[in-house]
Amino acid sequence: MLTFKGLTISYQDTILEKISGTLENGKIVFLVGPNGSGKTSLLKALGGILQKKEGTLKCQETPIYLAAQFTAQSGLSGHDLLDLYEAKKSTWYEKYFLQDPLCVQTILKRPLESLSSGEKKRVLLSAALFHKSYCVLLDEPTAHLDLHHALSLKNWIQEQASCGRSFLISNHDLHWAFLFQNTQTWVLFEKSIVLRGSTQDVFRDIKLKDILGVKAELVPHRDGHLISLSYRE
Amino acid sequence: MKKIFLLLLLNITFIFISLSVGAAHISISDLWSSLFNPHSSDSFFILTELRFPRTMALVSIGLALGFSGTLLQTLLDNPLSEPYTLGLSGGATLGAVLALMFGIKPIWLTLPMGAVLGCVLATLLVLYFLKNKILWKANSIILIGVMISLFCGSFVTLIISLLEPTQVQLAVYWMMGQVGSEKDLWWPALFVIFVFSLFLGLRHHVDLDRILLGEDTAINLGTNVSSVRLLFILIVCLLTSLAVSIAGLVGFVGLVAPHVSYHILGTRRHYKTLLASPLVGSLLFLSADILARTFSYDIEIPSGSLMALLGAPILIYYLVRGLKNAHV
Repeated sequence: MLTFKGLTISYQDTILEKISGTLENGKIVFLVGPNGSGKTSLLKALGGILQKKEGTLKCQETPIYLAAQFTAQSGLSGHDLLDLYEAKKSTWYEKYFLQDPLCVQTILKRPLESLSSGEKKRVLLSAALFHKSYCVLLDEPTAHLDLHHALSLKNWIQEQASCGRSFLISNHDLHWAFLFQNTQTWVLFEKSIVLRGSTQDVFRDIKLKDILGVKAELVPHRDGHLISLSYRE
Repeated sequence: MKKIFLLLLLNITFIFISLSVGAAHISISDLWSSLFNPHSSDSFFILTELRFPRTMALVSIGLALGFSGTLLQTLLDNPLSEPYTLGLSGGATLGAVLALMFGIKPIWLTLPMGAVLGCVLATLLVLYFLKNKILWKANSIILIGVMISLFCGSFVTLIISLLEPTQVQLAVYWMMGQVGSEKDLWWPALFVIFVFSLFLGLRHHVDLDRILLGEDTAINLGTNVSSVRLLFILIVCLLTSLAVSIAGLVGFVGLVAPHVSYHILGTRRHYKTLLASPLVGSLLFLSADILARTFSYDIEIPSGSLMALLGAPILIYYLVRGLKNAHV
């Protein structure tokens, strides 16, 4: 379980001010908000990366954080990456490596720089999800992923959550978010978490269209809901 | 690991070649006989008093610079960093030349101390600029380093113009990277510090690998990036200043060796590169000096400038190759 209280993050300006929240075991929480609302800063602060912060932060172990983009010219391969994430010692690795949900086994040998953006993302996601931590912070995990692997990723995250792993996911891809069952959404806007609750409730909330600038309509579907978006009138 | 072993074997071969080549040619069989039968020949004197210290000085400098280059390229996330391009060697040279100018005796002690002092100052300057993260991008830090180098270089020229003619020759030859004088006696110190640094580097190899993934990822995975960076930059500073006090300004070894070792190994995992890159550095510097000695027996060609002649084309080749292979 990850708990933070009175968390303030500032660079020159204050990005987030005195926000609190709890990520319970086995929960999946989406972090939604306009560009620059502090989604990445919050994830980095919870991952112990940002030092310029105030407030308390409690977690049994450091959450693992995966950035939206990987730009380093590392000269390392996927196998090296798994080593550096100490993946091979974790129970997630034992459980899922053979199943290989993101189809990375054939590309693990290659240097990260030689992979396409989508392949690189799959390798990085696998490394992060094989890490031992029970708390995972993902920044735009579906960026660059093709439809097939986005769906596999959803199934994998859902399965791990049912084993007690918790996820905080910054995400712009609402269609993808609505494929999940039983998720929560926190909406970041103007330095605080303005809305929180189950994803369906949040997207039914009338206030949302002033924040995101779009109107969301939920359409019932056999697995739950689909979301339809339009500009506000 | 096979490749690293091969590099080690090559190094040993080159050490023997270096021992046998020079104004007085000593054949391999003479080498053996004088090893087993000391005090019997002139060769023995040449070997123990001249060739051996010189060769080991070359090896130690090559090892230290290759090692420093790999560390700096990782820590600063920049493929062009090395002691020379960051101005660390320049600072050390200025310190050493100042020591020469004031002529405080004994010079064998004050020169290295001047070099260490100059190098520490240059390092502090670089560290000060590194605090500003904007300067990390687009090679700005390299430009600043080159500026520090040029500044120190002009200062050195100024000082040399004030020196006595006899001192001028000494200073100029030393700066060009000439090995082969009583300063060579410092090699054991450099070698011991190198071995110690290598041990430290290998202890932290996972931390260094994680820094390759980017600072954020490294911190998240539990590496204390700023303290690892500080520790190894100080180690580089120490190695560089000692290397400079033995052989003056030697550029390109620290720059080329990491690129060649990456090319040979195909990985930048530090448990391999921290072994391979020093070995490549020592091979490069040894072969430059062997070439310098075979070209002419009467005139001493400074191996530092020959190194630059060899190093510059090799580096351009690797950079162009690297750009071609980059996935765009």
